[in-house]
Amino acid sequence: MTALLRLEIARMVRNMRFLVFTLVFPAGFYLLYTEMFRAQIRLAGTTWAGYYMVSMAVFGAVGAALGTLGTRLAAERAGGWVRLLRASPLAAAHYVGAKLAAAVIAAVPATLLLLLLGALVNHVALTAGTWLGLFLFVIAGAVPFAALGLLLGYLFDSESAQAGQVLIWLALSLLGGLWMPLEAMPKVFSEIALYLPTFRAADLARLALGAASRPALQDIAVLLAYTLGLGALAWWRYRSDAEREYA
Amino acid sequence: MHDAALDFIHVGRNYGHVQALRDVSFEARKGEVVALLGPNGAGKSTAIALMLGLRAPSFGRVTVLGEDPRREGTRGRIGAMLQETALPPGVKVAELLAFQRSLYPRPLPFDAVVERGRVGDLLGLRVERLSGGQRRRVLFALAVAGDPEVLFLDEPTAGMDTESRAFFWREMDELSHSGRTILFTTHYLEEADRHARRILLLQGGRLAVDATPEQMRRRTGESTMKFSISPDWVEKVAGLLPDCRVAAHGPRVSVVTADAEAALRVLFAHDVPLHGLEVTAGSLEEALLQLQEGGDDR
Ligand SMILES: Nc1ncnc2c1ncn2[C@@H]1O[C@H](COP(=O)(O)OP(=O)(O)OP(=O)(O)O)[C@@H](O)[C@H]1O
Ligand SMILES: [Mg+2]
Repeated sequence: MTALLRLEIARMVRNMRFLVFTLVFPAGFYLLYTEMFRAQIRLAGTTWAGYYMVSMAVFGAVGAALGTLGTRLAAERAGGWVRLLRASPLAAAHYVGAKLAAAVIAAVPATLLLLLLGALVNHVALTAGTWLGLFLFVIAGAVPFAALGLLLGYLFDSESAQAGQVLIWLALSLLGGLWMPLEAMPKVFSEIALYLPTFRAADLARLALGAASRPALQDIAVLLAYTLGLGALAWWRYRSDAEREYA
Repeated sequence: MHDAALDFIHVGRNYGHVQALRDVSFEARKGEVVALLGPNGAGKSTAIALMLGLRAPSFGRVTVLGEDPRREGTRGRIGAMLQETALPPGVKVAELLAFQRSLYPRPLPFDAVVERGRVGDLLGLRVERLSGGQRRRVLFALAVAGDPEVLFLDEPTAGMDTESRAFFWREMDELSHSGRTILFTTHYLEEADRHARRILLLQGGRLAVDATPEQMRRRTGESTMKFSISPDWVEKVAGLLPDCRVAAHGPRVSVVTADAEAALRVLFAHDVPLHGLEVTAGSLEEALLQLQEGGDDR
């Protein structure tokens, strides 16, 4: 499993094209919107610069976790690489585990970049422990999206996977209140957002800032439910894929 | 039964309404080299998928080394080169080989893998920059990396240049001498003729023939003459030999005949300017063609 993980990370480092999007967009939005609204927006318990830093870190982390798996997996299935692995003694659980781990690791660069921008450009001041906690929470929040990416890789074919994954990334981010705070959106969106993993991931991370709007246990429960539910679906697809045309 | 490396017992496999394999039974001993032949769509790749545990038989039973190939333990003892495999982009050949070795309980040493696959010049390359033939070489190296007891090769030499192909078969002969069981498919019949000790011919999913190459060739009782000649002579040759089947492949002409000596006397009597003459007793190609023609209305 570690051997496959190493392979996946080497590929990730060499093929940064998609990862660059997950860096450039969140960083760009962050700098732009904190500059534009610096004075106007006051939020419970934290500053706009701190609040939006978390939103954009989650936005980037979600994109990276989703994007590492979906397109690539669909292509690997179509190209026959997955077939060859299936004929090897690699256990299915190790294969899936390594893929998920690689997707979560892919979330690290975007998360780090946003935290750095917050600290260095917008002077968000936190204790070392809080920074670390924040980082870990954002990464943990990326886990259900790795599972979602896995599922997309099995649902889509290699052509539609890229578009599908970008659309889902953007839609979940918008509806989850990552682009603008839910308070600034019509009320119905706040209600929808409660059920979305994007909102929950950001809310959990804001716990580190002391600015979570929901009980942490509730956030964790929703994220866990998504992880398990999506993971189970992906697993089921993986098993049934064996008997399908392009296994 | 005990030293059967491969065993098919009344195996059938359907894809929806397509019967890709029907009631196929055969047994291959350890150390045997088997060529699985048949026209496109005959079921060769399907048979290999069953032996690799990639698919389950719809009917009957498949065992490899006496075990169900879908078990992980069995898969650690077999190696495979599939018909088409796109390698994962972004990975260097050396990394891929190291990864593949790590999957098997008793892999070949890294250097031996490199030598076997003749991929020393490719190690630093990313797999997406390999040419078709280079990719086949890497795939072969991957197949032998785990030092498997049984090797499955689906059209292994498709796309290889002459030199790679010759090297590849030298390696295969060596592997077979060291006791490995090898099953390969090919559309190049001379490869089956030269390197297999047994030929299985699939036709429309049925096992039509199970024989040695010599037995196959002798089936027709005819010989094949091949020679080179300028294109405008081909028709005249055909006219001179009304009882033979004459076919031109580029500058080479092949003549299949029941009596090679008589046919040659006719050609020399008419001063036909042929050169590079070879005569072989029987022809695998001819035997297969006859079987396939007969197979359609069976
Ligand atoms: N996944 C699949 N779904 C449906 N039909 C399939 C599938 N795979 C193969 N078939 C059908 O099964 C039959 C046997 O196919 P198979 O790939 O085993 O042939 P083959 O002998 O390997 O041919 P080739 O020489 O072209 O590689 C064909 O009719 C093919 O269309
Ligand atoms: Mg085939």
